[in-house]
Amino acid sequence: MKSVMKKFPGREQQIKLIWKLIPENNNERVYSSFINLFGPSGTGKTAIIRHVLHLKKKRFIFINCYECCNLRQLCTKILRDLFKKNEEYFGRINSVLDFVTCLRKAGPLSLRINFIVLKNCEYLGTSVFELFMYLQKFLQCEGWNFCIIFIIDQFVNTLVKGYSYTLHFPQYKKEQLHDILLLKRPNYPQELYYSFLQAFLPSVYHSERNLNILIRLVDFLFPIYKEPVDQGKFLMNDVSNLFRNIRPYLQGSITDVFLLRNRFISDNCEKVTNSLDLPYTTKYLLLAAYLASFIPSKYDRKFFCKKSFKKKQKKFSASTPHAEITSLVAPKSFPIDRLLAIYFAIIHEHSNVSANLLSQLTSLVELKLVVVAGNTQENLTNPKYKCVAQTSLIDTVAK
Amino acid sequence: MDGNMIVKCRSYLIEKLFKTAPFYTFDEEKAALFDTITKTIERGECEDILVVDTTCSLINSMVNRVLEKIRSLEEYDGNYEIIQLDGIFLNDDNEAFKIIAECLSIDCTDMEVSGSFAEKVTFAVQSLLTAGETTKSLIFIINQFERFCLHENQTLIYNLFDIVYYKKAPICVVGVTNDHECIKKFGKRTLSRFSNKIINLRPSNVFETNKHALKSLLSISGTQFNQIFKNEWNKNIEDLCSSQPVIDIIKKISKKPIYEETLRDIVHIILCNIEEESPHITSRTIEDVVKQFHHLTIEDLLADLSLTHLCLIVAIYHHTMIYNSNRFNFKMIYDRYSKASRKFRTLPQMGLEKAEKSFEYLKKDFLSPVQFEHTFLKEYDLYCLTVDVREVKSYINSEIEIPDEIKISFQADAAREKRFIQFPPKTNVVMTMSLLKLLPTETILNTLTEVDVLFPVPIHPYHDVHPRKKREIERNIVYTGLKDAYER
Repeated sequence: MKSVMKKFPGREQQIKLIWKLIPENNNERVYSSFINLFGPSGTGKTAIIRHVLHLKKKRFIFINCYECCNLRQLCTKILRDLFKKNEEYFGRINSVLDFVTCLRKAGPLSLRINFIVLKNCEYLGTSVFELFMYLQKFLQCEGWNFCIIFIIDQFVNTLVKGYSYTLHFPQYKKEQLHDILLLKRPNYPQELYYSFLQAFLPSVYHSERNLNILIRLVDFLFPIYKEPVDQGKFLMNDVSNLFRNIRPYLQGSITDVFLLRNRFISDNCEKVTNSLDLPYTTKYLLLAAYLASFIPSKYDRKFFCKKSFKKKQKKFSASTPHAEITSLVAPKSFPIDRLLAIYFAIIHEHSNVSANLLSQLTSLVELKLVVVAGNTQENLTNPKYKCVAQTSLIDTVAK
Repeated sequence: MDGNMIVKCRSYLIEKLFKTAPFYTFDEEKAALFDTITKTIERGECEDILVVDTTCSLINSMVNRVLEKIRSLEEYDGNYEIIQLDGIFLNDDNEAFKIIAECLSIDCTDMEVSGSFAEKVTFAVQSLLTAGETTKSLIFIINQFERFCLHENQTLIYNLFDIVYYKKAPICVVGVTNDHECIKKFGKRTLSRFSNKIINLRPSNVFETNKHALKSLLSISGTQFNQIFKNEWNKNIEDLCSSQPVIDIIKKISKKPIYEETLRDIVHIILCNIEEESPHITSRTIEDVVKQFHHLTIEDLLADLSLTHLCLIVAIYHHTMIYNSNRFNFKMIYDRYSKASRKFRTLPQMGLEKAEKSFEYLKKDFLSPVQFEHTFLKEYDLYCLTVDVREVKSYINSEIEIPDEIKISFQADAAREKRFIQFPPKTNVVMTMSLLKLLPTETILNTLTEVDVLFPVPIHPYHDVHPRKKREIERNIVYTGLKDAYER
């Protein structure tokens, strides 16, 4: 137990309890019906339970529920792992009933595995979760000796409701993070790494507490921090100068790591999406659709009517402040007549409604920049549309 | 105390915990159920009975104990067949029928062809009766009975009750449920066949039983411990159980519907907390363990959040306070956040993308979707907060670790909330600075610099009005709109 505690600092209480809940002998009965581990991701739930089970030499199977999209797959996977047999051996598992009959056929003594660890249980949904809790108790009644360990990342009120014991893994405190990051030290001199952490953690801690993100940040920033020391520019204990060196990278890298993106790749992506290659008239049609969805129809007269004293120059500049107000709520739907009216108001050339124009509208619908709103069958005569393009896209198109 | 002794004592107590008989014996009810079942076995009578078991126990349930008793009696051997059905595993009646057929060892492949479901069931039951020389009684134990009510037309339970009603065959149907209102779910057809025999398992004297159980589960006896240790331990436990905090805890437990198994689990965890260094069980440990059996509190969840998430939570709080509605989408929240971050420069800065991802994270724990129509864009989807706003407020104000700038921004807008006036619907409000000039100096409104108006903004298009008339309109508005607000 001591070795586990040393490996996972800040988790003494949880380790102590888990250690005692899991019996020493392999043949001994598992008393607790199920163990719930709950906490945000990156707090060591999976690592600790795996480590403890390994140390106690338990045979267990580990299943990530994220991989199983329905109950059938989950049941098949559990059976396959439990008995190490092919899928053909069990036949097709259609429901829980088949699963239970399969287990019953094998008999409780054939089981050599006592623990099933289910990760990411929130993807299972409440009903399946309840079912597994019941299954556990039910099989215990029949003399099966195994225990399901549920690992839950997100708090789902109904999941934890069933008056079962939930072991809470709280997020790490600053000192604990410091200890853990020290443990994960790369092959660098300890002093340098220690001083780096001393300066680095307080500046990051407030905006980011997830351990996984912090480890990635350290991997990225520490080489930059170390560089001047290797080149001999600064001394090892000159923390303030060294830290000033990495400061420009800090904020940007936090955002990058948080969004799991690579700066070079994402730049290219943006270019591709923004340079949406549309024909000249289609661009105008898209703009008209955007204006129609975000500007209330009562302002139409003011902005687009040619008889009003300030006409064309005003429409874009005038639309922006109002767009800011109205763009907080979802885009409204508009009839096709209004779209065409706005289109003819903003386009400089004079043209007529043609099949060509309507086909361009259809192509916008196909591109999913505009969608048909409401029931399509009802609105054959006067169809309604909605603009669902992103504002950033509209900005680039308008330029 | 000896460390070795403590370990031995702990394993002994855990062993004992799972071997002791249940505390709620339900003797009368057990006898009644036993009578009903034996009637069917002995005399071939038809019975149906519904057991409403709110104690939610499964392993030590009363029905199981009765069944064990019947199985142990040799005189009935070979006279009966027990069929157990579980509602939670069975999605429709055909699956249930497969199990019945399997138990009765009938080849169900022939059955697929002939007749309706009712015929199938009666045929299955009849075939068993006529097959052997001696007739067997059938005992159906149906767990999670309320789930069978959801099946199409309630065919299975109707047919079983029907057999009982017309005494077609000697069967006994025992439905076990933990739903009080199970009978209300019965259809008219089913209800007409049901004999209305119900056994209600209501534990009486919960507090006393719980207290007694806790004491007996924790105290030790037997020869493997020496006398001094035993006396010391038992005395310690007795003192503990009669102390005021523990009694309070037991009272609290007894009020809620948690029985048997939960109490066992609680004792199990308490025993796991015993250590060689600190062998005494204190009321504090019991309290901590019991707390963990209930819902996790909102403070626990909020403590796990990082500052970026907290900023959004505060923005949501402001939104609900200012607009007096608990519906919001991402755009509104981000708008409110960026307003606050412009005002308080020290707040953690985040771009649109980061805010969006943080919002996604919050969605899973704190937000639940409110949807009227499909919006196609996720930033416009409406949500509402699942936790109480006041709890968030008290948490943020009390927690020490939260940096001051968030607290200040929180309080600053909370203070403004008092000055907020809600105008009656369809009031015209002019949002110009000239409004302030028109007001008498000593009103509460003279410090008002920013007007937040109920969403969506009811703007009077006063641009269109001739400048001479504008003045009149403004005057009118002040009298019609704000006068009411003053008087309130």
